[in-house]
Amino acid sequence: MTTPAPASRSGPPSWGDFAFRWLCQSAGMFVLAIAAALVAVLVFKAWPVLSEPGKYHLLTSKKWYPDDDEYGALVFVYGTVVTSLIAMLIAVPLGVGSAAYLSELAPPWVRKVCAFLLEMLAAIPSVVFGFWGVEFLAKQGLAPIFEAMGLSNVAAGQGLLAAGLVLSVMILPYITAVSFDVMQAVPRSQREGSLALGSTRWQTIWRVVLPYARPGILAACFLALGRAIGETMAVTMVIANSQYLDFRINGTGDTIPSVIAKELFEASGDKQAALVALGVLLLVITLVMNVAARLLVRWVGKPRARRGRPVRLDDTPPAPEPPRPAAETAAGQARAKRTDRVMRFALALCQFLTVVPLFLILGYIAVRGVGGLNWDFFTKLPNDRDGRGLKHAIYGSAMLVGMATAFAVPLGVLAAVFLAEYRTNRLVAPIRFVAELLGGVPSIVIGIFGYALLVYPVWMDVKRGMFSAWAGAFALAVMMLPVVIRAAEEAMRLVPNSLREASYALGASRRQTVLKVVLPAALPAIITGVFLALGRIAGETAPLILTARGSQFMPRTPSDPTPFLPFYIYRFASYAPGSPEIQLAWTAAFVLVAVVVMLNVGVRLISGKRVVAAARAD
Amino acid sequence: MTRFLTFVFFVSALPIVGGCGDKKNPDGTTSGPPARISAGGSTFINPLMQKWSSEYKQNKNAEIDYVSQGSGYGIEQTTKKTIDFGCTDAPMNKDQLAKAKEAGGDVYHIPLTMGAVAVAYNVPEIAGKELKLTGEVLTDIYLRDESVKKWNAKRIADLNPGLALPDKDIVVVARAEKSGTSNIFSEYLSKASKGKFKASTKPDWVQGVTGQQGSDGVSGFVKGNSYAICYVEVEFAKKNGLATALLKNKKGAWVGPEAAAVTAAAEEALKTKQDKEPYSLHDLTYSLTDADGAKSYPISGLTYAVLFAKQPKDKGPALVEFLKWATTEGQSFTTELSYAPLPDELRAKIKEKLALVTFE
Repeated sequence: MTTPAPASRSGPPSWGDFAFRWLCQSAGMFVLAIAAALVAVLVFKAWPVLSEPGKYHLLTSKKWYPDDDEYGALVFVYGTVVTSLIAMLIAVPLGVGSAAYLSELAPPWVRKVCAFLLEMLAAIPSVVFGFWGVEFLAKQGLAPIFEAMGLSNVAAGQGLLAAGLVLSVMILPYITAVSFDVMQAVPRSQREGSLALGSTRWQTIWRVVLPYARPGILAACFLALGRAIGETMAVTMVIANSQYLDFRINGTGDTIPSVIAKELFEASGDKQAALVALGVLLLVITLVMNVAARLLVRWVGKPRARRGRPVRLDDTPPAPEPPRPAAETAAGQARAKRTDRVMRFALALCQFLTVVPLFLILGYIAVRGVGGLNWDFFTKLPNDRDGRGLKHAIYGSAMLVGMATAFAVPLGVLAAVFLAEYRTNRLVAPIRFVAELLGGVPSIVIGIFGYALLVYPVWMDVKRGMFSAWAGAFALAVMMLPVVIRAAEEAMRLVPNSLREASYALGASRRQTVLKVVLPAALPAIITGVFLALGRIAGETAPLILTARGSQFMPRTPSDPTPFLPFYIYRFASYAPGSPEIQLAWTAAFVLVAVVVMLNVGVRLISGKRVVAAARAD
Repeated sequence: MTRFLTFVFFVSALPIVGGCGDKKNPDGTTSGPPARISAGGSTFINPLMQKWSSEYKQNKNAEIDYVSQGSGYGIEQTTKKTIDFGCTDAPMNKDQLAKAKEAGGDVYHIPLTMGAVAVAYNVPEIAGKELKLTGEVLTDIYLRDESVKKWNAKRIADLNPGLALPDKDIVVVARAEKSGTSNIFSEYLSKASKGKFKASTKPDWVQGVTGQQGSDGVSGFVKGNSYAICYVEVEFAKKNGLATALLKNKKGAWVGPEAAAVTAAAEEALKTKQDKEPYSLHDLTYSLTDADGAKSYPISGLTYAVLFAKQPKDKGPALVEFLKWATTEGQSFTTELSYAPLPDELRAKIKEKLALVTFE
């Protein structure tokens, strides 16, 4: 075979390669630009308050009287802290216990089933958690308990405790999943060494696995805490909205995300600045949690080296201890075995308790939702004379999700190509880092961003603000982008290098290799990640309330206010028991959860083992 | 890659498909899509507004897209022009008016309907029986005063001799967000308690009062929980089957939240010079609370449409047409939904006001 002339080979391919690389790099830099814009817009809007801390006492006063120009947010900070702490108190022991059970004790089939169920739990939209929380957990769970305790039933079980419990259920899957991964990363030799020395399973878990995995578990806790702090819909629906410091077990309150969601679009001037300042506070806190988590994850690799040092320093092996009396040894062993059995049961119980909420939620929603499932639901509008339905909201949700996907997927995949295939570029590390942080930003903060950027832009003397599908889809796309990037990057990394090398050996350029070899090979896993991201944003409510607003009619163009299904769950959830609206809400919750569950199940069935990579990106 | 691109194309096509669809007239010719007016705000008026929306679309081929989010939203988003008009039960105060004028010039307040803020409650033990409350007692209930913590408190029992009130804590419910209903209610409490309670769209509720979102949230909560009490536009109480209290008016008569009693309050208010802010800031705004007249319901209110006097050419005419319809023909739907129709005198003034709207 004759070798092509060098000139003809280097010409066109070089140009194409350059353009392709520029395109991928631009996509990556766009991620940086979005993050920078997010921070800039929020700080700009909050500046009137941020720049005068002495005047407003934002964090030290509990007087939130906007009409009197008083913006003390201590009550909301307190509510956020208390609900998050309650959530952590419950979710951390349960989550770590579940992870330990799955990692060290469970048979493989149990591990698979439980992992799947946890994914289902994580996929449930927060507005559904809120609905379930107020109707089931608060009203049918806590209210009777408070009554029995002789406590004043101020809000039918709603309040700080209910909000904390709902949050704990929401963050449980994350703690469990990350802790499990971290425990799995503990070298097998450590376990075998411990068992060989006669330790029981529990002793091995307690003395070897958990200490080794501690940094990773702490990272899981930080991530979960960031999520709990930033949660909006689930909390605002169950916390009972009061503005005072309430220290009672049946106390009511409010949180930072909740007050932002309720009051941002009736606010202007300093009040808006104060609310956005709270958004900035949320952003800072969650970023700190995220960074701390990532630092801890990176540190997981280090304990091993550190653990090795004492051995090297100890030149002389210690003298063997004198043998213990036989009776003492036997008694100790018996006690250890009893403890082992008890703790095995306890860990199994943790796993059981972790999965129970899923069935409580799915079961309750199915029972309440199926009754209203009929053709009208899909073909009528809420005000139609001859039947009630949410056709417009279903259509609107599909439209918003579709537009968000159309924006986030191409951009995300290109950015991922840059991260995975141009690793030596100095921008790769910051882009990856920022994309990860973007994934941890609370949705209400992204809602503020969308509102300030597209609904009522900050930078131009606009005459007319506009709620629209564009703004809503943009907010969803910002939320979706980090997930897509991570899923796609992971997928490409899993493609064997040998395929790339073969392609290069045949004379293909980098662009050709990526487009014709790497991407096709990674496509199934990328699609998996995309569907998981779809499931996540399909149930989003908080950012859409601030950007798409909702509507009573079918959207005509993307420039119109656009209805979305979660809106009706949120809005109708508080209607009277037995009303047609609350039935619509239950049916909507059922449909939404069914879609999300089908997405997850479908993804799992289609992708098989490939879901592992994508699932991690979630 | 082909599958992926197909997927993206499909989802991208959704908005295009949705945007199509001209409406076909009976004779087969095609006209443009119906005008769509975007609005939002007061939850007080929402049942009537949804009814109007349905009727207006049926008969006039125009869509009124009303999303109820509270009066605070109605005022703020009208100023920001994200909606074509807002609805509010509390007229703009001085600050809000200045801000709106800066944003788009003069603002008109157009009364749309009148209604009662009912004191609704859920006490199974006295189902079907009348409950009487005074403004002073109501104020102290909402201030969680020790003297009226329970349903069988002496001050309540004294007003209702012979009524078997239960020994249960009163569960006090208020609105969580800025609300015109809260403004009307707290304005009444302020008058009844001689300033002990301060009027506001978002009053400073004391510890022990729970906040729920929207009128439906408030009434829904009371419906679902025994021993709860709330203030809510009367239609929400009726549709949820909640009992409502009789209140003592300025003349000492016990009056329930009927439309006729609201009309009586309005007749008195129309005779009264509105010399207090924010009512004095606008041409057609009236305080109906604690009105004179033996038949007046003391917690009555008006819901206003707020709109700029200068409207865009494309949507403005449709908006004005709707408001004209709502304040004339639309009034025939008020009574069935427990609202009171606007008095003829007021309708005439509204007509004059709407004629001043300009389009540019």
